[in-house]
Amino acid sequence: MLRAFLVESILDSKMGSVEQQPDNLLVNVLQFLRSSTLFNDLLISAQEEAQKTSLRISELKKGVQNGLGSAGWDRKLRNAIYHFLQSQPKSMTNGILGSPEQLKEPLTYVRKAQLAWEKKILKSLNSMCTELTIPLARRRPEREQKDMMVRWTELGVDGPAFMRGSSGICRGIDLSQIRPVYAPKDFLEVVVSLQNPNCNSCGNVGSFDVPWGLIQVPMKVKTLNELRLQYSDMAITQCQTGVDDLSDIPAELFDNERTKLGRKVLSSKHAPISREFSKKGCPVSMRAELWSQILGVELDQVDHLYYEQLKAYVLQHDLLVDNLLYKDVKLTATNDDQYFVFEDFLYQVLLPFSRDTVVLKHFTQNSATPPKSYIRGKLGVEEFAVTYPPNGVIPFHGFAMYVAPMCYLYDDVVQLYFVFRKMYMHFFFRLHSVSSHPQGIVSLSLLFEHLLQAEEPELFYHLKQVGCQPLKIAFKWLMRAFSGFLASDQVLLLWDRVLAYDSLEILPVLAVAIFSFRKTNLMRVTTFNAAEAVLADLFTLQVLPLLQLALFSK
Amino acid sequence: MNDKPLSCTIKPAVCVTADTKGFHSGCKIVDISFPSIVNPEVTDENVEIGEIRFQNFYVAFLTVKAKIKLTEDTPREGPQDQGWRVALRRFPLMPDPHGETGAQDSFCLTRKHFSCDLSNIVSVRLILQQPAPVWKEFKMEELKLFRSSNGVRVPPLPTWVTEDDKTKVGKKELENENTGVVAEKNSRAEVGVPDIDSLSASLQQLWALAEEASSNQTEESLGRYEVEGCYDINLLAYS
Repeated sequence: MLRAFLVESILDSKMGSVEQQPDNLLVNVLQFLRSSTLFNDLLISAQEEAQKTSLRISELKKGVQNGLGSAGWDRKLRNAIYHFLQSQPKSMTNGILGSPEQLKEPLTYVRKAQLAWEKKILKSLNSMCTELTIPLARRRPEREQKDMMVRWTELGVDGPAFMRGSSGICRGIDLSQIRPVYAPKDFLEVVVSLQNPNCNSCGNVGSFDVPWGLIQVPMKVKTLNELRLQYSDMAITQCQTGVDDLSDIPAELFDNERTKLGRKVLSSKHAPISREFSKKGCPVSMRAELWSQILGVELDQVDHLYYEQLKAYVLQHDLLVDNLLYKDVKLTATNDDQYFVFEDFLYQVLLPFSRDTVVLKHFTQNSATPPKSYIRGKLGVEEFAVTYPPNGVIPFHGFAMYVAPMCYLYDDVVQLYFVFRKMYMHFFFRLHSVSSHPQGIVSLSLLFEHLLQAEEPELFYHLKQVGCQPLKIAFKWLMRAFSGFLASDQVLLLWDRVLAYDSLEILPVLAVAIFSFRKTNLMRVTTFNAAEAVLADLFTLQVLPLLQLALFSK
Repeated sequence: MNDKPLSCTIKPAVCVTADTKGFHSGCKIVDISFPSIVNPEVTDENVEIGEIRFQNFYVAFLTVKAKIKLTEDTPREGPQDQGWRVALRRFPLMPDPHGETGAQDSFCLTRKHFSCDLSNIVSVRLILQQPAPVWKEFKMEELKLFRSSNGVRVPPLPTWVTEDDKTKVGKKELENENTGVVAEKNSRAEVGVPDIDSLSASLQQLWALAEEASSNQTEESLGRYEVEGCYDINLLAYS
């Protein structure tokens, strides 16, 4: 019975996209299933089925199979295999192998650039520590732990490092001295300076070696036509949630049917179906559930315990990263009238996130490597080497905005936490590491430049002439996946598509659409600041009509 | 299994040119010859290639030609047959020659990629092609030939996966551990006391089950990040 499910599910979800040896794949899937708790559960329920008195011995096998099938094991296994395959890197094609380092990032010069960038971040963190004479991490005294536990749901008031005690000592670190380690602008510089040493240069502007845009890496990105095919479900002829379900359109036309179908999809609890349904957007009332299904977040008691454990870790140790996160929330979400109400919620997600070692797993696919350190007094002793922060991710200016829009979806902080963690480990990490991956920020930036050049050559040329490279404005949008730049409901509609199509390529498409939409005004600007002003306020924009315009209007 | 690469001489790549004025043909040739001395590892002087491993550096297509030793029984391909056989024709290493994808990947080409059997080989010629003028250089790094394909050994699948359903019927094996064991127990209850052989057989199965369970330990970590409860850190290490 397992076998039938396995083979079918693999064929289902792969559809020939990966030419990896099927045997090898099967072995991996089996290995994964066997080591998961699911396998144990399956055995237990099989045993229960077999012990039913209604079962005749001659039909034991069939009976057990039917019993398991009707208990929903079919769906559970399919989902498990689907999510396992989703988490596998897609590069394992014909005859390609390599060291783990190479699998993270095959191109040497990109790897070097990422390493240099990491070193810069480390130095900046270290110098912050030295200047402020604070350690990266220290154990909180018992009393402080208790105090923080009491303030857990209202950390926004005084911050994580604050200590208000009967003794009257205030140990709060002066937050004005804590500054974000890096901002999108700094990272853009790194991305722009990326250059292939094996690239010929003959000095022709506009050719491969001296591009019109800022990105100088000759990577292959999709053309508009390829994107049209990829996003064909978003065509203007097809009704979309986010356009056709607005309140001024009669519900009979689209909304009623859509909701009905949505309920059916939800009850089937099958990730690929939810994903397919979401291609036309998630109805507001169903989004939370659909996203959880697509990402495979199904909370059980262990997950709740796990979150509690992370919380305990937060109380135990005081990290400098906490202050960075705290500062970031204060600078971004708290200043945003859409998100300030979620301030405390954000801490309850971000602080445990920094302690979560499961996040380290994504580094097998990420070109970045987690920072390393040694326990105080044991410098250089390998047994005392630790990653810092425990999840290996150093937040940048705007990191909290990856979480903020999702606060609208989940009122349970644990659910929010696990959905965010999945989103980060599957998508968001690619937006702030240098890599040649087709979903990486470098490729996305290049895709933006190519599309804008192809679709709005006049506009691109004009902006370039007045010294305002479009990417300089669009990069922060891409890096934050538009969170904080658009109205929150629009961000969620956009992320629906990211999840449904399992691709971040929609981000540059939207960026191009926005430039295109504001073209008339942009054509009149003569300075960078003026151009920035034209594109400063995007809160009135409707994402879907814009995307449709950019993808399908020509 | 022979894990050592075949001893061979890899000559430096020769760029194919039409004239001497730095014309970029985008084609290079690498000749590989095998020492004529009897290779101690190869008993029958039969040079056989089962696997080619290398790290690509901006080569877009790879063609592998092999010259085989012509003997009486070798089927000839025409009267002028010199013994050259094409094992691989324009195998794409980079999906798009102008783009970076695949440019620095490591490849492992095995028998299933080759169109003919590579045995009794005198020499091998690799033809590297890079039609795109974008790149300054293209070459192959860490080129190694192996006698047998033992690059990535895949553990064999459990029989219950590969076996067809039909062949399984009637077999009282441990296809699905649970149902199998239960079935056996039930059938024994019918006949009374089992004989020692079948008892020991099922005990062995039990042992196998236990072994299997212990080998299928979960890789789930405990999530500890501190060392002996301590996580006091001053500065980050530059490694």
